[in-house]
Amino acid sequence: MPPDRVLQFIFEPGFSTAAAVTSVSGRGVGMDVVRTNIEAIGGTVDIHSVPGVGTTVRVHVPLTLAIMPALVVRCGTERFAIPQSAVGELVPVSRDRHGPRIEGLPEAPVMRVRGRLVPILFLDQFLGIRATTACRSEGTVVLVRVDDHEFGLVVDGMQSGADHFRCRDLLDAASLSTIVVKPIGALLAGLGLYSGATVLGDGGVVLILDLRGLLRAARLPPVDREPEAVVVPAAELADRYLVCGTPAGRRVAVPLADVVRLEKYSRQAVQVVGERTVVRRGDAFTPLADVDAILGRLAAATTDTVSVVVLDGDVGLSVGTILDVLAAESPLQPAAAAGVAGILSLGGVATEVVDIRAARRRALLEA
Amino acid sequence: MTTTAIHRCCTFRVGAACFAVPADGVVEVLRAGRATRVPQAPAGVLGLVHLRGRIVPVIDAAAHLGVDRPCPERATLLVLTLQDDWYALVIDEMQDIVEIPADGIEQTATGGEGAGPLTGVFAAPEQLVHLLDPQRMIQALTRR
Repeated sequence: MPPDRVLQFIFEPGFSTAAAVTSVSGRGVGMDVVRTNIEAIGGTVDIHSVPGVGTTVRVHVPLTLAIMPALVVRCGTERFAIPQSAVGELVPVSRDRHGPRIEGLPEAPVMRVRGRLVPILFLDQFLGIRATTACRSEGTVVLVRVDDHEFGLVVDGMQSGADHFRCRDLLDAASLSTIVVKPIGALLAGLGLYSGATVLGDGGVVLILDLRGLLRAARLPPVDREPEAVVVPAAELADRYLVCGTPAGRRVAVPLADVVRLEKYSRQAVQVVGERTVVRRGDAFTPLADVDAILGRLAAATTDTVSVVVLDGDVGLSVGTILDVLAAESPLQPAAAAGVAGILSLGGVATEVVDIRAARRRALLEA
Repeated sequence: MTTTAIHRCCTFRVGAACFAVPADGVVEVLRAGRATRVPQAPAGVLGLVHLRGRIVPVIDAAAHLGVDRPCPERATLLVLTLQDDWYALVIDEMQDIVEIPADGIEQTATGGEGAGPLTGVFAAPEQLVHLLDPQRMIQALTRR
């Protein structure tokens, strides 16, 4: 019999090499229990031993636990996990007239999201966490999609209504975690509101919302969804450019992958502080770089409004006009000019591509 | 002399009354930590706790045993297993493991078919012990 087969005997029930048996040891139970339990969860255990050298016990345990990414939101004193796969976006709402807000009758609140009306569910009210008498107008709306339905769950969010651009507050209200889904037992699963629970890093138990169940219980109306927006795969996104005109009359492009948002400000919102130019957004200031200055030209005429391309890392690039988003028609050809990453053909016209790093350096006044 | 079936039971106190559950259904007894509230849960379900990798509902025993007492802040939890699920009962004090002969159990008015979670009463030397059927108790919770 090969030595490895012989070693397997220690996993047999009742097999013992002990000379004496006591009430707690030597009865040939231990390794049998080990193997039985590991195999019960679909794992394996094997043993390798060389006399005088050492013994290796290898335990393979499969990763069958249900693990999923989830958004953990705060609602009153409670926290809940929302499966991230269902989360479309987070929208901070406030009383601010210009920002997104919750409208409609108190019995049927809705929110306008890019032309669609999405029904809104106040989580605290619905679950009875807090008695809310009126339609609250502040918080964070988590837009979720379940099957053919889309709805917004209002959870606690912003502390103040004005600074709804600041991501930090959003992250306060919600955080992403990878969670292990644990069953909550027949008693509470029967409620149809929670699909399980998880234990967070701080030891707290957090319920996972069953979005289908919520939808069913809340009887929200379905949303006539517009045809899906064309999702541009990341690989293609790299080849798409935002084409802008500069105040000095040049045609430049910014890689779309670097663009976070486009915004328009009045000239008064743009302020010069020492050598730096900033634009005020709520309570925060975003450093600004002028596109002509990056390209080594003096800014020409000043207009009443400033178009700002907000780049990754909260840096703004002020441009004259925003023209279009176009796909590159030629590979990027390096150019020697300052602030230019290269030249390529966009819409049949040779266009300079702004060097994003140079823009960032200028905005942040880095050498 | 005739031999009768013996029930091994754990006895515990809730309020002033003493109750017993079958000992083989008891997982463990421990001090309660903070439970996570479960909105919309049936009355008597105080929340969820994390126990040895499991998520266990915490149930206020008093609410189901007709005992009128406020739920203690840092209570003792009696963890029971029932059809692979665990349930933690909030009790006031763990008492003993006793052996109760089957012929010593009196069927009470609330016992028998259908009714509440109590199946009978046993007259121990110093007190009355009410026998509790955990399964009926959980079933009563889901019915509400």
